[in-house]
Amino acid sequence: MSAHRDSWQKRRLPRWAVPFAWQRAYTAAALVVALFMVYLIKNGSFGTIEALGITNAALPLALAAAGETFVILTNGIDLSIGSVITLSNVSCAVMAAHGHGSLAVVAALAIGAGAGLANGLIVSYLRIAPLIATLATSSIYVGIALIVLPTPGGSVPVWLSSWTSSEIGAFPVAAIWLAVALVVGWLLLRRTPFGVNLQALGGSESAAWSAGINVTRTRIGVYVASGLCSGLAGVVLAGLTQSGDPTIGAVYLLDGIAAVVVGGTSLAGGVGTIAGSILGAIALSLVSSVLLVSGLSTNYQYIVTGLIVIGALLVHSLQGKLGLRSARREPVAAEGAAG
Amino acid sequence: MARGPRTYTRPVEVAVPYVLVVVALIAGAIAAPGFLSSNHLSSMGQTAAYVGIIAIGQTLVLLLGGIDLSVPYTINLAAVLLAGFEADGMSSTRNVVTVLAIGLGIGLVNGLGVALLDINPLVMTLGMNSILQGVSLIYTHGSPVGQAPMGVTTVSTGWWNGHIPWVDVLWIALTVAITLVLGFTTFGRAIYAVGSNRRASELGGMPVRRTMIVAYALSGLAAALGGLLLVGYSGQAYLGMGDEFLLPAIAVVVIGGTSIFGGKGSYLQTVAGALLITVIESILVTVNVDEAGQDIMYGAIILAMAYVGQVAISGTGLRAGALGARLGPLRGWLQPVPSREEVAAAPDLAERPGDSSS
Repeated sequence: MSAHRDSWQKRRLPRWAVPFAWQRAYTAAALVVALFMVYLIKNGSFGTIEALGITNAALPLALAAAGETFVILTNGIDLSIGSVITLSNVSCAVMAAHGHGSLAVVAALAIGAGAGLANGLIVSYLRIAPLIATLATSSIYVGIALIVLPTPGGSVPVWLSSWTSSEIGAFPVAAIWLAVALVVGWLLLRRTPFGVNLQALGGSESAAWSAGINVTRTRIGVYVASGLCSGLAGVVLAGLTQSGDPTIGAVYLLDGIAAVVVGGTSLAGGVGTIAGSILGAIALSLVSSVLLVSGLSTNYQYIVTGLIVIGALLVHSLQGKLGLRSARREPVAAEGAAG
Repeated sequence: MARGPRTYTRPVEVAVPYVLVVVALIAGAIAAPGFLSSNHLSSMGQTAAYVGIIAIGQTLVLLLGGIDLSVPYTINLAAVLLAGFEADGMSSTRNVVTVLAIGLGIGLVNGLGVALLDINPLVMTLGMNSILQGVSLIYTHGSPVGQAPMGVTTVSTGWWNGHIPWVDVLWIALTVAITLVLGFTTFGRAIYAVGSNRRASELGGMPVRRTMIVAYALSGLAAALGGLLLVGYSGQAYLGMGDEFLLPAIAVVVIGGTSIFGGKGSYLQTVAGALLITVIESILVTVNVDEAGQDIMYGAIILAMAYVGQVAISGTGLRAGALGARLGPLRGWLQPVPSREEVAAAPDLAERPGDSSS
């Protein structure tokens, strides 16, 4: 710790800037705050309806991004998140339409986890590169989803939509879920052996193996976590739209990866936070709202998103240089020591 | 150096996907009479050509160890621009050249970002795709106008001598060109070198950054060319027409056996991959498998070919688990034992620890 502090002092980084060099997630937080300020200024007011719109858009993306974060942290990638969302979404809607309300939710989550498990087994035991393996399973899951529900339809129980899209007082339920996801993600990553193992695996697989970490089990667990998160996102989408749609997940693949990148998780693995990804997802969801209240065409949304993603990566690499090589690996060590 | 092309690919690796194409064709002939009729063959050839030409860029970029996710909206932007320019009533030749130049420029920006700013290729091209999507939307205001020029339609859907689609003639010419470039030019060799080991290539004095920039630029150009052909095929442009090519463009490269880690593979294999996937999809359509079944088969084929390519034949999965070990005899037959130099170059070939701990 002291070594890092010394080198900062040498570089005369202002005190307020130090956390930004440490924590890439702060960039995403700053982005959220900045976008929110613009939104407030342009819109003039911020009521329950606005909050509902933003959090409802952000929640499924945040869940998908959180799941993707686990995988990217281990230096893998999961291209099947969109398809798993679709699969879970249609399974939930179809089962619920047949009158099995809560069972449908449980089954949809299990299907998500099972899809993730299949990814993990393929990557671990067939040794196919994650990019290819999940690209292939993505196609398979979409195929299954089309068999389950060829055209949009189905229905969900009322309680599910009120659990996802209503408000308590002036507070949208989705915001509470976002907070829950943030805390659970942090606990899982920083306070459980699984979290520490997966970060070690992302830092260096051979070092993790040498340290006695069960690399295979950890990697499979990571894909299951991703599948479960995508399954959850699918259920949430079923609640929000009150139906199932076999094309609903497609947009969440690239947007989910974009949110992870904006949130500061390194695609090289080992560095990143769930909180960052959730903030990244909120930031990306805010873009279209901000454009809307600014009177600009939402067509600009894609350009702004693309620039934010590339810009965020440049900022993160700058942060990496400021925080020095040693600081890049620091969050694991520091949190581990603190715990 | 008069030793002939060095494609860094064993003949068997090129042969396997082509053998599978033949097997698939025979299976098709059994499943449906008339499968091998010249009409059906050339229509399959046409379908394969579009994805094959689009995958030229992806092959180059994957050989470098990169990836290009901006393919969908490079295709789409090229398509809407060509149709839009036509509607503005400018000369068709000029429009085609302009659109190809724009594709090249898009790839160039990708390459500059990846090579000079060291932005992760996945993120750079993902961001670029999003930007291009916005540009397409703004240019068209959501509803593209115009039609494909005559010449492009002829190349895309016309026939040479009444039997061979022009687009296949173009594809064959491009295949020869790309194969020669990859096998015989310094640029081609640099692609393999950078893909195998970027650091070593830098130390060896290779123009690493320039190679990367050119490869991404060519990828943009190939995608734009694909966009032109697609607009010629459907007559007009529509938004989202490139989306369905993102995954196939990567899949056909992988199915052909090119490694996504770079340095290993060739465009000839991609051609085989494009043919194989087209023939199999055609069989599925012939025997009335619906879209869902096609998606599932598509995924299964990618998995199977990736497994065969990575584990059983090319041996990058030497340390594989039980299934790989069972294929041991086959692997030994197909693959020479790594030489001492090869082991020295890639120590993990020999001594990477397995995962079966604890």
